[in-house]
Amino acid sequence: MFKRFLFRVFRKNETEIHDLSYLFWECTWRCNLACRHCGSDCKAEAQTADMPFADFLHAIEPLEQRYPRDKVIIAITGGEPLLRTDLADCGRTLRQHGFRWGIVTNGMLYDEARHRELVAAGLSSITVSLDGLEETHNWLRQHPQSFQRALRALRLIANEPRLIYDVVTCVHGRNLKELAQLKELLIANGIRHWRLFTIAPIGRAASDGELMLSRAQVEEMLQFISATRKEGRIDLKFSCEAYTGKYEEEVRDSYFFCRAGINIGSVLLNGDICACPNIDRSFKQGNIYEDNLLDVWDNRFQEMRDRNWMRCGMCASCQDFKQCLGGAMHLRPGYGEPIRRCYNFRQQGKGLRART
Amino acid sequence: MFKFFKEKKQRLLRFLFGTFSFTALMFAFQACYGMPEQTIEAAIQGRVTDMETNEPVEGLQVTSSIVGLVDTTDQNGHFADPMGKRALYEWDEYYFTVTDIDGAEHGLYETMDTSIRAMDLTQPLQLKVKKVSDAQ
Repeated sequence: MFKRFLFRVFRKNETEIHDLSYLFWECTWRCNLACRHCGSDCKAEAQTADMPFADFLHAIEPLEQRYPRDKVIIAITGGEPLLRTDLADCGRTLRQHGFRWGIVTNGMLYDEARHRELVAAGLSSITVSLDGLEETHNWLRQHPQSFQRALRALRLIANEPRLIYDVVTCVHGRNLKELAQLKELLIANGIRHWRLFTIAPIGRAASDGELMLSRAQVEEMLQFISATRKEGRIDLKFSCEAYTGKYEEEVRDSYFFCRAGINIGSVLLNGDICACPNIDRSFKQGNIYEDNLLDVWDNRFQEMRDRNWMRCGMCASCQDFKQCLGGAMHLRPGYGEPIRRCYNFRQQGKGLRART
Repeated sequence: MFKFFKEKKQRLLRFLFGTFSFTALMFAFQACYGMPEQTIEAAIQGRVTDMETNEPVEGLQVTSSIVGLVDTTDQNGHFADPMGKRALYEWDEYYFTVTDIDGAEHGLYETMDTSIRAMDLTQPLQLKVKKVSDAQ
């Protein structure tokens, strides 16, 4: 109880200070896969051109004066960021300006030459997706080589001591029973850091009911995470996508804390300034082509720093609201809207409650 | 000025939370769909010596905001976190306290507080304590 109280005090304090320390750059909407669960519904040939790096660099220059060197990390995402042939040049320039940087990738284009190029350009952190054993991963990613390419990337990364990395797995009905085998595969390949997600009902996934887990399946996944963490053979955690009630101290290193708009911001492909890129775009706070990024960060984002408006729908009467603060921002369809789903397994002993 | 005090408060709260939760990883977060923050691996270990004589000091309790109790120094002044290496957020600062828990048995020493950046924990710590009086 006291730890939870302290955590709430800590969170309130962090919210008041709201240092920007994690900034997404959605550099492209192009993607070389057409995954069934894609949250951004990317296409092979996006209709919107990639953002010129110079535009992004100009937007973030004010951050150099505000924050100490290495304080801010730039998370380059897409689409598939490796489709940008200037990625290493972008990263090298970011490093020269005092920003750390990393990428989130499907691994399709991550071969040894690219690996060396990016590490030499200062890549410090990387996340690669692996969504099951070979057949399941290729089904979800809709590409027969996607599993082998991702595994190739993971082997390169696991043997690179300069990189911080993890593997993310989106859990759904088809791969839930494979998690134990997948764990052994990762360990056998030297992977030490693994993170599980469920698939959010946004983007392309919103229309595919097969990808959503049932209440019992979510609990099975959380129990798998808890048991694996106790084994201590691989650093496994549940993502920060949801408050989990009685599992809060078993499935992560820390309590659920949605930092969108508190420590996390983003510059989207069209220049919009938001928090995490998967948040509903109605929450946009400005645009780098019209506004100063630092001014926007300092003076807007109020609906993310004061979340009392989230006390609606199933959250309205929830006894855990003060601990969870209404869940993750990306599960709100818009301001004043109730949450799409909840993974609170403590509330009234009823577990998962999903809005229908 | 207001910002200055807020930052001081944040530092204190981080210390408190780290101490009571036995984890420093609260401060190393990652966005849902982003990659991990940069962390480093370090084993909390080192040696405590007398500030004036440079001799090792036995019987001192070392605690940190990372794990709470780390260890008690042995006859060579050594201490080590039994968990071995941990992932630490390299940009963050951690607080250490060295407390004399055996009274005058191995000399009486003042409690010592210090803060150390994670990147400095990749090397064994060299901590110095000040003697209050000789053992009886």
